[in-house]
Amino acid sequence: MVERKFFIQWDSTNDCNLECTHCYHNREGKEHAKHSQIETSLLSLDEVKSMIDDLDRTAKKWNFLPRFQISGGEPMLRKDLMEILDYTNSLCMETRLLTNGTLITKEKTRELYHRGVKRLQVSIDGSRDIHNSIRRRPFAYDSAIDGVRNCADAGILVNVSMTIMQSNKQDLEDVVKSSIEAGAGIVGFQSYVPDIKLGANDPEFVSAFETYKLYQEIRNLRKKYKNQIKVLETEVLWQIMQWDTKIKREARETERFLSGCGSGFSGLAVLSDGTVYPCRRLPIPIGNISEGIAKIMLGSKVLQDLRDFDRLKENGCCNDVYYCRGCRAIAYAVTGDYIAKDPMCFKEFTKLEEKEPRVIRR
Amino acid sequence: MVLLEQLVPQVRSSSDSKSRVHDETSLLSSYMPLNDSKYDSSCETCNNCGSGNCASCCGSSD
Repeated sequence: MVERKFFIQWDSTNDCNLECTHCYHNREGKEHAKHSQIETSLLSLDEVKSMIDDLDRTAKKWNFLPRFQISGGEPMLRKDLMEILDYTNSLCMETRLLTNGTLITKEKTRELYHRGVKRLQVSIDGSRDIHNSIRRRPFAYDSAIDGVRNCADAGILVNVSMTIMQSNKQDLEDVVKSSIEAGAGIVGFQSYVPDIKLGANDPEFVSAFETYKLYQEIRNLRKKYKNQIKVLETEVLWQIMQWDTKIKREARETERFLSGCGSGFSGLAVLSDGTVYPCRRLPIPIGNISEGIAKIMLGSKVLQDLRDFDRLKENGCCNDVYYCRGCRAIAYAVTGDYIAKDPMCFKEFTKLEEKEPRVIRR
Repeated sequence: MVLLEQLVPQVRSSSDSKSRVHDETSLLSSYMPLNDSKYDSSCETCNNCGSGNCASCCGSSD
């Protein structure tokens, strides 16, 4: 039996040396940022350890493998980061950093590696000028590439992540090539979640048809560079372009969760002050981590809604809902309803001949 | 465009929801078991999505 992973993505700090145009913290308003940056509102080291203990205990009780993802702000600015990593390492817990990469020096990579960080995500959102424009810092790109290179040299697997927006959608291949040159092992692409105050009118929002064309481009890049880097197809809507499988059919027949969006099923997002969201991109408070993972997972009405496949289907999701569900954050940002159909769903544009054959090993 | 006053989360009452998952037993039974040996948790790129599309996802079986 293979165990699923249950993760916590934790904003270790709201401090950051960049000022990205699409950062959640900027969007969530000055009031939130001001509140969360008060030193006393940050989870203390003891509180963080309690959260990690809870993740370890609850995940194992439920037959999951725990994964702890440390985000920010910029996690390298969290003063007690290395002590936290010592703790997760002592529990043999898979731990990943989600970083802008700019502060990952050679010395830091050694410290991270020896504390069990074997994989790390660095955000690169385009070619040098585009990335620096999005990050609003002229040094951002070169520093991030140096960070990727330092990690690769130290034996840490780097997953470069690009958020696709209108302003950088022409740069996909550039990001793949620069990731290869810097030594990254994986590159993946994430959908842009529009600003909830603008919805589909957000100028960076990518439409369903554009998303479809971009996914085709990503698939071509995966083939073109397959011997040099792994181009992931892990975003939920990739299910639309992939073949049906036995396990998917079983999930549909038994109406059980298989994969796709993990909100409500396989993870929680925790802010720097302990506030819990279903996903870091779905800004609906559903409790505080001090209440415990089990209580929140079972008791949150929002999470119960997110697990309600029947209601999702009533709202327009198709029968792939057991391994897709679309992006709940984008549905919420565009419609105000977190169980509405994902407005970026491009299933209507797909054709059978564009689906990729695969070998079924059963 | 979504108006600001519409941004209050639409948290539905439990009576309004068909959710079957309110307790630990029902939550855990709502997951599809991943019982295929190719979902190797030691695989460095595996995200354990369970979809069975490894070749398309991480390229590990290309």
